[in-house]
Amino acid sequence: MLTISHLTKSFGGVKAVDDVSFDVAKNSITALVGPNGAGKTTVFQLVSGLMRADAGAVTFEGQDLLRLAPWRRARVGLSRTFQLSKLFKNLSIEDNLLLALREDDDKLWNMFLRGTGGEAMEKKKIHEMMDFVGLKKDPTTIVTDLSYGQQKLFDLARALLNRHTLLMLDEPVAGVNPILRQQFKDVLRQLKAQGETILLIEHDMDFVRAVADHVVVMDQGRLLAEGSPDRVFRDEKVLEAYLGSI
Amino acid sequence: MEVYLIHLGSLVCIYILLSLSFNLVVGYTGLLNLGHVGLMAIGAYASALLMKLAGIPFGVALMGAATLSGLIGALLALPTKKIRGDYYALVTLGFMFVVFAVLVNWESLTRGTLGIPGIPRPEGFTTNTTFLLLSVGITAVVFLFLDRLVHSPFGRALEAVRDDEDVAQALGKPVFKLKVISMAISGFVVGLAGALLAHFVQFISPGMFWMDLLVWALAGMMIGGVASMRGTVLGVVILFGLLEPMRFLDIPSAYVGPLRLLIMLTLLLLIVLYKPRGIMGRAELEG
Repeated sequence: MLTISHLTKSFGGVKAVDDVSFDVAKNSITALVGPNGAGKTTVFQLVSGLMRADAGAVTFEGQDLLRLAPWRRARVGLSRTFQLSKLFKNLSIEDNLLLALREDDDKLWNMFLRGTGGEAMEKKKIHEMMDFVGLKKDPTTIVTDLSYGQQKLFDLARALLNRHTLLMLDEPVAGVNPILRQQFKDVLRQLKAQGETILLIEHDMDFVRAVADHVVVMDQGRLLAEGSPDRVFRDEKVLEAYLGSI
Repeated sequence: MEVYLIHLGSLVCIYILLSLSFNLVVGYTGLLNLGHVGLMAIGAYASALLMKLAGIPFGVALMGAATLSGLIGALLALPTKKIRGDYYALVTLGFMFVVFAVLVNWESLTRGTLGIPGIPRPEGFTTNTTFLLLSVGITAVVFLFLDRLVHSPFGRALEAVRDDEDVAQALGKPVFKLKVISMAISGFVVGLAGALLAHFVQFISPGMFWMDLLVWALAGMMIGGVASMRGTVLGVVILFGLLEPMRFLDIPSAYVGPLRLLIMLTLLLLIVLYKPRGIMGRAELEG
């Protein structure tokens, strides 16, 4: 579904992503792991278009993504979360989620047809999604009033509501408590059962082992190893990279 | 007193248009356009010259001037492709200086610092009372349009751009297009305000479109409410309510202007410190 070929990005003299290639198969959960500074988030930024690649190619369902503006990449089916929750901080949960749900809100003429109040169907979808991810809050709450863990759930809900074929999650369980972590695990398994394709960055190896079908390991910008979780986590180079980073 | 209030009414409407358009682009879209007054000057000069020199009917001159301001406003959104935040504010401030310099130096067209006197009022609106009706009518239509816009999905998309461009893009919002449209609408409205001012006062000069007018736009928005059209109307009315009575104080007239500006800036500072969203505001600007 997603093919990354020889992707390269430098910041000054530092090669943050150095000739990285891997595939994400349809209806699978692929985990992108590696020590801090390995270049994982930079790969996300390059794929979603928030950074420009120096070289390489990214194709998504046959389309050359690197030629598309970031918003067009979203419209062809990429949906992502961010390492640190990024919120439309002055808006309510409902407004934030409506922004993910509606695709035609950049059309000015719509102002004469609909108000901001979500139509019944859209509100229903939002409430169902909040229930699905386990976000128990009044939808009219201003989004900055959510706790850290709730913001992580909200991030997931927003990415899911955004029409997509590939979900990219950047450290969805970083810093969340074990109960919430389990909740995320269950949700991701359900999503996979529903046919979702997920590319995931995560540091928690137990979490990765529990949910991922395929693991890609990066270190210092380069691809170190890839394969099934069991095989990758027995790989000596991988162990060394992780132990070396502790 | 009645004559004075009627005169004041038109000015209040013009300043409401100035602040509403500023709030659309700054409060809702998050673009700190410090060149806003430059767009107003373009509207004022375009309408005055079209009607006075070219003899074009008022309605056409008014719409032509507003459209020109809107187009230039859209062009002023182009730098947002590359720059954001404070840098954009500096670029747009530069635009205001450029507009001022052109108005001062293009004497064959603008008469430079001498300004343009004798700008005609539109037929049927030559008295202050009838002009007030015209100003109120135009302001009401613009207010209803903008209030509808900001309460629509389009308005919410603008707020998404203000709060986080990266997330807006990640959700498939064409951020640049949204900024261009916002700047175009804002430019159109402030061009309308400039044109109304020109025909109301019947005289314009470059000095009328300077920093103090920018402070008015900012104060109207900040006091009334960032990202609130209704609040903006309230903010401008409050400002006039506070500042106009100073004309009747027993102080030399040369001090009235600076003192009004000083009070406005003090008020602005207090609002920023203690109520950064303003009275009816829905958003807090980055700062």
